[in-house]
Amino acid sequence: MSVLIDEHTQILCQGITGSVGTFHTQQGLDYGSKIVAGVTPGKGGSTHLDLPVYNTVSEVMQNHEIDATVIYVPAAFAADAILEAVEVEIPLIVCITEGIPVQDMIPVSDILKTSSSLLIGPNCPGIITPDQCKIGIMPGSIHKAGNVGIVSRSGTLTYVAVDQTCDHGQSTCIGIGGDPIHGLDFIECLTMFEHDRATEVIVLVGEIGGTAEEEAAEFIQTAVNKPIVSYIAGASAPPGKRMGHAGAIISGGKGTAEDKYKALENAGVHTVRTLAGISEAVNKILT
Amino acid sequence: MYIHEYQSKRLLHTYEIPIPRSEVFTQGDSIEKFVANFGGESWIVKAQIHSGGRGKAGGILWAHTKEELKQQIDKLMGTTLVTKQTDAAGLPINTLLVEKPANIKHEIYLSLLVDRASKKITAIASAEGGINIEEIAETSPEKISSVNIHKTSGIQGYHCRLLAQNLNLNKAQFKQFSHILKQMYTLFLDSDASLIEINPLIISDDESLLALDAKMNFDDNALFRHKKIASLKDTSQENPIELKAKQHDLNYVKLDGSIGCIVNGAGLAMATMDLIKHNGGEPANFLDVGGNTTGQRVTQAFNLLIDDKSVRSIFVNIFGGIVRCDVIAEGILQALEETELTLPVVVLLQGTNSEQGKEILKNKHKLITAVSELTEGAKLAIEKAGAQS
Repeated sequence: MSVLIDEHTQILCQGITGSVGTFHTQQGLDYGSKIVAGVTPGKGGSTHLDLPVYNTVSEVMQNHEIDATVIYVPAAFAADAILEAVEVEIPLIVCITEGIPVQDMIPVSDILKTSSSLLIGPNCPGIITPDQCKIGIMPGSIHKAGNVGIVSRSGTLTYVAVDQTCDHGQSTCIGIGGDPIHGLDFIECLTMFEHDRATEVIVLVGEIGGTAEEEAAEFIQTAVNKPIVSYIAGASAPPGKRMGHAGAIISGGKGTAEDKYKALENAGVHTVRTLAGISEAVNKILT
Repeated sequence: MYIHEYQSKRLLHTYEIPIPRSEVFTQGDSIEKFVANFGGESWIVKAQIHSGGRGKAGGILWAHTKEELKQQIDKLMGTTLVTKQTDAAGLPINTLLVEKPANIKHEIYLSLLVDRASKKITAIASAEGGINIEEIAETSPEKISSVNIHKTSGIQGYHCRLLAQNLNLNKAQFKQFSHILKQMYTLFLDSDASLIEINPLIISDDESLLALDAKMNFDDNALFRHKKIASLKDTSQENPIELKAKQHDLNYVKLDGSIGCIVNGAGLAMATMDLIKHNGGEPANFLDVGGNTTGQRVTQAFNLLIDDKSVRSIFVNIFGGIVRCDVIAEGILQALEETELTLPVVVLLQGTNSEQGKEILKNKHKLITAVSELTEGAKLAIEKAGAQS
């Protein structure tokens, strides 16, 4: 068992012929991921890395069974690409692209509410179930199949969390991305890990800003029984330079690392104050 | 991207939102001519810098005679202003906004922003506008109204009615308020803004509404499609090292400590600062060289930190993913050849080929110490910084 993806997941790559798309598709194929087709508008009918390339996602759906799509399309066109995948209700959409204008993501988030598609990202490393399927830009080699589920807002911090849990290995790792408006949040991921038989411990890596960790803490109190280890990055960050008051009014002064730690601790989460503490905390729970 | 008050007001004016009568005075303009042409009996001279808190810092001055106006312009122009929101060096004043004062009967707060919680554009209003709005939000949240605007429907009459509920506007004022809010929303969409704030939006003694101060912020990721907005950028308001970093596409924020940090990934960069602070040190900066960094980017990062004279040691913390640690290690050695660095460098390489990377760095350069663990690295960087100062 695992979360969202496994060895049978058939994957489409949008933006497959670009340099980033090419590189990471090759890495994914080498890892054993079942990438079956690509889309690049204008290059339909050709092949790339021995895979068929189509002009539109809808053409792909007429010819292949697709469970997930990964998007490497440049920022200016990425929201368009996500919406094209939502249109045909691809179950899982993973958007790696960073730098998407935030107002482009507002309609995406509205439309996702009425769709069965799930979005991971944007601006994220993707998702991996070690030894089965890798969708995204994470280095496959550092992962090992095991029983720790990882969910994180930051890319490289996810990798460090993987490294910290190398004694036990990982069930699935999900990088949900750090953009203000993104798809899957902690709560959805925690729900899936809670129901996943392969996952025994969950590692939640948060960051200052927003209130996603506080909401997760509230959810954990009633809905998660598995042990959770959590680290929040940014305790030492000075208050960001800002102009105007609107941000402070809307957040009501919430969103500091200390608020998040407090909320998580109240929910029974094992919090650690430095990254280096993750390994010890996980080992303690699993022995 | 932030812009100045005078630029924000020009944009408001373009969208038919009323602003006070004003003139812009820039460096090199003739004071004599400027004062002679600007009629009236009293004026407000406002320093144009990218920071709030200007009034309390002495950046907003009154003048009641033309002679006094000259003096006030002269007093502010070309100086730097330190406010509660700037660093100790302050920001240079190269532009002044000279305004005709309005007779304020009442101050309203009004803003639009992208709200990450609701994933929508949110409008906020309060009858108690002015400089204490954040305190009011904290102590009397019931005095603040907010409403989410669905992008499909756009702004509707009920949004305006909801927000105006507690503003005590008469019929004519409500009509003006609705017009202002709707125009603000259009500007927000047209320009990919992330914040438009009018504070205060005043009711003057002739009962009309007027935007007395305005702050705007635009989505950097969307500037590629707004050339006009992008051209409003004033680089004199940015820290020179931060500016240089941006040119190299490095994500850098100057801090007050002595330990320079070079890290790949924003989250890991924050975590590295946490670690240094947790062990009793002070980071000199936040610096993210990007998830998939290269040797060349590390060289650029070293060059940046050399410019910061408060740095006493450097902690390089790279997690090799797709980019292998042995490649990064070679890059670091080359960077030391190419730069004039004289500070101790502690290097932690983790992830892909970390052992080979460490081996490459071993005893190669007198400035470098390779470590194998996070806490060890942070402690050593702190110790070396202490020995340098």
